[in-house]
Amino acid sequence: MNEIWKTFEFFLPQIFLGTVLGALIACLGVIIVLRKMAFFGVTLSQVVSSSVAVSLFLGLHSDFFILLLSCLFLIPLIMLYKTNDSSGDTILGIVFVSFTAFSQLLLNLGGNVKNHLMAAYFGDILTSQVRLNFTLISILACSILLFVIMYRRILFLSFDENEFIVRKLSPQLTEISFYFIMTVAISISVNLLGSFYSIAHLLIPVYTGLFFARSMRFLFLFAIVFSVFSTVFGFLVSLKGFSYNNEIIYLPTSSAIVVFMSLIGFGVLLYKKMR
Amino acid sequence: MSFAFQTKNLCIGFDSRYPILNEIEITLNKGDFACLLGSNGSGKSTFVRTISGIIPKCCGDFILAPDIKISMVPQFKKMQFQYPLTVKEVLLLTEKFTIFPKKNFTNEQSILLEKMGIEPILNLLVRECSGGQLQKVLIARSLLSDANLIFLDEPLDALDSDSKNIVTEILKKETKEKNKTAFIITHHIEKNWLSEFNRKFSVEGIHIKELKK
Repeated sequence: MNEIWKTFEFFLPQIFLGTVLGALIACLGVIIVLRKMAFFGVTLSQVVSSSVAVSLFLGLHSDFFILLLSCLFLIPLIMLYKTNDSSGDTILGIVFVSFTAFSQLLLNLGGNVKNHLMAAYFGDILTSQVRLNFTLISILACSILLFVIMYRRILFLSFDENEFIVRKLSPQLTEISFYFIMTVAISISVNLLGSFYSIAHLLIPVYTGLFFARSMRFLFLFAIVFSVFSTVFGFLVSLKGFSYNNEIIYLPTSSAIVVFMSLIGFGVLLYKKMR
Repeated sequence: MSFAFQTKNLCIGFDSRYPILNEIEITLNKGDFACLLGSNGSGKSTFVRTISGIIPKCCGDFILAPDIKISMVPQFKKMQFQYPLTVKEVLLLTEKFTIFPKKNFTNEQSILLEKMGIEPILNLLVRECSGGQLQKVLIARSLLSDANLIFLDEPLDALDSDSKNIVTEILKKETKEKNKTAFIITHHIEKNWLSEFNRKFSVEGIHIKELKK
């Protein structure tokens, strides 16, 4: 136990980063899940992974460049999604597989494909450097602030789009702000912690919370607590080695967190369905 | 009496080659309590959605008075029920967009909510409300807002006769005392209720005509 605690202390910056980013993504997930945009979020995270691949291919692996590239990719993605109301999900599916294949092609050309792809998809908090630079922190802080300021507008627009338009509350500006916040948060999260970690935090806490939520505030609080608890628990599990075939095996941290979250999420679903 | 909105040779629809309604000439004044009658699919909803700015017009024109603020009461069946929003949260959502919004209603607002029978269900989730309750919540949301032109799309369908009378009374009072304009669109109206309105319109073919008293 002492040993785990010592290791835990050693990885404190990574744990802090993973917990804070996870909780932020979970908050954003509230709107994404309620707007039924889960697949959009998943596709967006894949687009960000592709931005990582492009940056690696071009030898410009900077967080800012990846963020910029993700924003650029996002514009046609939103246009395709918004202008194809009836087949929005199909378009997203096509974008998803196209970008996945494109990333692999690029990484194949760049060499060391397996490691890069694994890092882009699963990430690993323990090995990730806490490399949030000042520019990135500023952009992230601005986007969080924007979310807080715009939250009620975004909620109103999502809940009753027609009334929002009727009241001339500038739906375009609100929508653009929402997509901007989503892109920034997911870009930074995917870049630092991997796309599966980000998707899990985006969807699972809110999905689970919806079974109990009796107000939006509760849903936000639940999503944050669930996300933080899962991250810390997953961390602790991954720090404890398991004996397997006479070897000590350490579980990958991000995967341990995601699996733990999924188990709780499905557990709650099962419990609710059986009642 | 100043006008709330005015249409001039307006035609509406989703394709300008095949307008649903054509050459619409209506002037609705402030303080009017009006209704538009028409069968299903006749273009009533499309008309108010056009005036509200949700869908573009095909041709012609409409003018809104400069101080007009619109609100629309939709059909409750088209609402997003997955949101864990309480009735109170829905009603306060339309308040001014500040980071720390007000958490309670004013006295005047509370009286209105009590009259409409919404006070006891303020903490209920919208998905837990019955059709009639939700319809009343949506009407109250428009009345609590600063809107002075309210479109109501089939607003009384889900209400029982007592609630219908109360809501009609409140709408009439609001239009009279606060110089608001209420425009109800419906496919069915009882004869005795028709007399409540000071202006009545009807969709006839591809035109809207005002009914004489």
